[in-house]
Amino acid sequence: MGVTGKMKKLGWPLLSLLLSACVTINIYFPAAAAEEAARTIVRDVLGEPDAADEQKDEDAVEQQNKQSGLETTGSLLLVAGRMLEALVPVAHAAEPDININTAAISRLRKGMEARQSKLRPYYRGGAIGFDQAGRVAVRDLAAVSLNQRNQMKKLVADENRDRDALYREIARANGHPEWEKDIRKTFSRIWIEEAPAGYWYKSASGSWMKK
Amino acid sequence: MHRLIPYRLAFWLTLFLAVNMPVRAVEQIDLELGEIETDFLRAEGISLRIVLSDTADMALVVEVADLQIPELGLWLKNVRWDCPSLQLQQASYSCDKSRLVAKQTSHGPVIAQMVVHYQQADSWQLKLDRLEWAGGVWSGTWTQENSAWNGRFSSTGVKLEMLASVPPLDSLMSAYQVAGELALTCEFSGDTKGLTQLVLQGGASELSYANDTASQAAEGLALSLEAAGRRTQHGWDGDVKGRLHQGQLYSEPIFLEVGVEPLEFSSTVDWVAPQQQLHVVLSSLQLPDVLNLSGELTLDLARGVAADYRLEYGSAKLGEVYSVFLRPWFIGTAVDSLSVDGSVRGEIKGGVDGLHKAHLRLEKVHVADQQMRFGLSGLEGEMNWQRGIESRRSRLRVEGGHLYQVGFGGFVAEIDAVGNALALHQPLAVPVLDGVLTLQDLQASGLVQDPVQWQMAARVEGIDLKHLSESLGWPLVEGALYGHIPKVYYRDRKLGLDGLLTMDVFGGRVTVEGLDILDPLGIVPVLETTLYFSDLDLGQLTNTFSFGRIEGLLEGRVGALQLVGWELNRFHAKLATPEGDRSRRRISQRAVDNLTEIGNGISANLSQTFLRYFKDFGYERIFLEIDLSQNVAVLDGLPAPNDGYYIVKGSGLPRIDVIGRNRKVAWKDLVARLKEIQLDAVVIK
Repeated sequence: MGVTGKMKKLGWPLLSLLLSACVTINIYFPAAAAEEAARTIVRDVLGEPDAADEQKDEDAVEQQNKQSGLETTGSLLLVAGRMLEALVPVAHAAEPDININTAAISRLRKGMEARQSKLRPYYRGGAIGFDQAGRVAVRDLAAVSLNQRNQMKKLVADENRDRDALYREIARANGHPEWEKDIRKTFSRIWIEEAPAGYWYKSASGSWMKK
Repeated sequence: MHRLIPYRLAFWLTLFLAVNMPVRAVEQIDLELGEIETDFLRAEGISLRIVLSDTADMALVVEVADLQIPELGLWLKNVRWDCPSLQLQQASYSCDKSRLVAKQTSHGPVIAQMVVHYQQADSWQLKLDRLEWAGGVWSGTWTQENSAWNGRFSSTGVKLEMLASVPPLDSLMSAYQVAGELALTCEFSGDTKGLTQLVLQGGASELSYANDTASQAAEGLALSLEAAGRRTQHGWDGDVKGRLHQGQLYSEPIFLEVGVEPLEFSSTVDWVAPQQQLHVVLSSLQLPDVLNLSGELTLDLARGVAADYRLEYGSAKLGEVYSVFLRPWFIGTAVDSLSVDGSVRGEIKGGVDGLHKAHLRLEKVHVADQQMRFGLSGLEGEMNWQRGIESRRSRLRVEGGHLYQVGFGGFVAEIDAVGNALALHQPLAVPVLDGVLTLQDLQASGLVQDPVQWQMAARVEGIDLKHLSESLGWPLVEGALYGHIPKVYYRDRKLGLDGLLTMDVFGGRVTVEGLDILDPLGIVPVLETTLYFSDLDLGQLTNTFSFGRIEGLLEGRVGALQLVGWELNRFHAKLATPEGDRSRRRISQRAVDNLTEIGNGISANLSQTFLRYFKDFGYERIFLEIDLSQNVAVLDGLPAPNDGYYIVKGSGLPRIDVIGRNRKVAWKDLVARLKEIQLDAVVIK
């Protein structure tokens, strides 16, 4: 039975209720899907996966809800929503997804994964860390021997080139080049969250912190 | 400040009393002198002990509880000078074996053995046999003859880190952490106005230093230095020679490791005191197998800048120059991984506001990108640049090169360089695959400071498509490439073409309208363009690709074409028989099979039906539309019954229609279909 048929049976009282509890769901940037995609990539790249953190998942769901832009009018939203859920069999918004399975993204991921073994000693030694723009920044040049410094800078430059391209390509692959900024922001947070203990990162205030 | 008695008077009065006492009834005299303060030093808790003996000699002990010399940043506590045998000869006093000990000082314990000879206030001699200070051993002499004085000292094993707080070294080294061992010999002379001559010879080993940010640092340096200077009317002049034997230097962003051959330099210097300027004539600075430098520069020490400089440089190993001095500046750009060979020489001039003039001569230079993206060979010529005004024209000759897999021939470029920009003096014709690419009106800027950007016009004439397709590994395509591109530009990492490139192929024409490549030398370049096809002869086209023969004409458009990392990502293609085409239109069995497979995923297998007796079939129109986006291709054709679409609408008898039923297909499946269609000699990638 369709939605219209059920509505007729419910009659005017319910219709009035539903009209007064008008629900508008706007899907903007799919933050939860982007976070999941970012976490997948970051864990693969860093190659040092941490145990899944349930709290992070809960936070992600909460973040998704915020990003979905749930706007309500009327005081009976909750009741109406539950009634709708019970009465309307197919009323799901399409689950947003982020595609990270393109040839270009795969190439970038492979390049970044291959580079990690060379970057790892510099992360661990505090020479480099994650900044707030989803990139790698030089933190302490003195932590690197003189003859290794330009090799490290080259690795950092290549890593940042790939990261910039990765954010751009994920946005492009999903048909929304304008998402690049949001994807970068998501990644910048995930890089820091997923960084192993001992890695350095730049806080929002610009100061370096050690995990 | 309270003084008990003038210290000099007290000292000599005591000595006088001691040595002139007629009867030695007193064997020991103790004097407490309290404290002394002069412009140079301050001493507290001074005591003097004279011990008399039966001989003519006497022992003398001077103790100072606290001695400070502010100008040298020195303080010493519990200083004791022992003279076991003070000898008096007429009006002179000598102490041959005296010993000075101060275990608590600002720069480590001091233990000295010295000879003191005093005749009168303006004539005396001090000989330091052994002084242990600052981790090393010092010795030397100081002779005062009337108003003239001279001396010599030498030291070994001195710890530089212990000297870092001694003026005037403290101001020089305040921003650095320094360590290392110093050995030095110094001869000097002077008069009442100060130092007049100085000869220094010495060296340092295991020298390391680093500033706060580690942008300037060195490790394990071993160096030797010779310097001789004379006081002049306006300051000083002299000669300085140096040699760096081993070690590593880092001066952001350049790293230099001294290997088997040392780095050597020799220079003359002239210090003009009133202007606080040091003028240096660099006779030579040789970094063996890398670089030779000579020239002159004036350092404004008051402002800490180079007021002006002129340097001549030369290297027979440009590859080493690139690796050591150029590549570090290019890290993160497309030219940070080059293999370079050849010779270079030239000259630069500049001042406090930067570079003023540069001249560069290249000989037998070869440049190859290690990722094989581009290369130049046989590069020779000269480049001239002058700030603000037009410099002498630059001329570069190139024997050949390649851009990705496409090779090009030799050319000569004449270039006018002004300020931050350069321009082609005359059109530049580059031979490419039997054709010519002519570049003109080149304007480039941002070469020195800003991001590089350039634009020019280009004309393409007769580039052979067969050779081009061979170079790129494509199916061989006969034809030629022509075009006039009024504007080719590079800006914000994007290479753009405004204009049309035309390829005369397959009896018709393919036109490329506009082309943008974002990050063209990056790891994931993004190419966007639109292609137009007109009057392509399907006979030639299908022969080339062995698709199955089709006769007729084809026109169409591939719009919104986007390649990401040189792979198809998006396009909207519409290919069709032109309206009103009057040419013969026939399609072979195999072509029907192949088109059927593209449209439906399975072959028609006409060869297994009675239609196998027909070699080909007539058709009214071919029409195929593919819209690729998000890895899904949407197919369409001419309207057909039951929601199908004609890819081939047949005509005549027997009539063959190819009707597509599936409108959406995953791009990877469509590619798989293309791979499976019956092609004789082509591999579709």
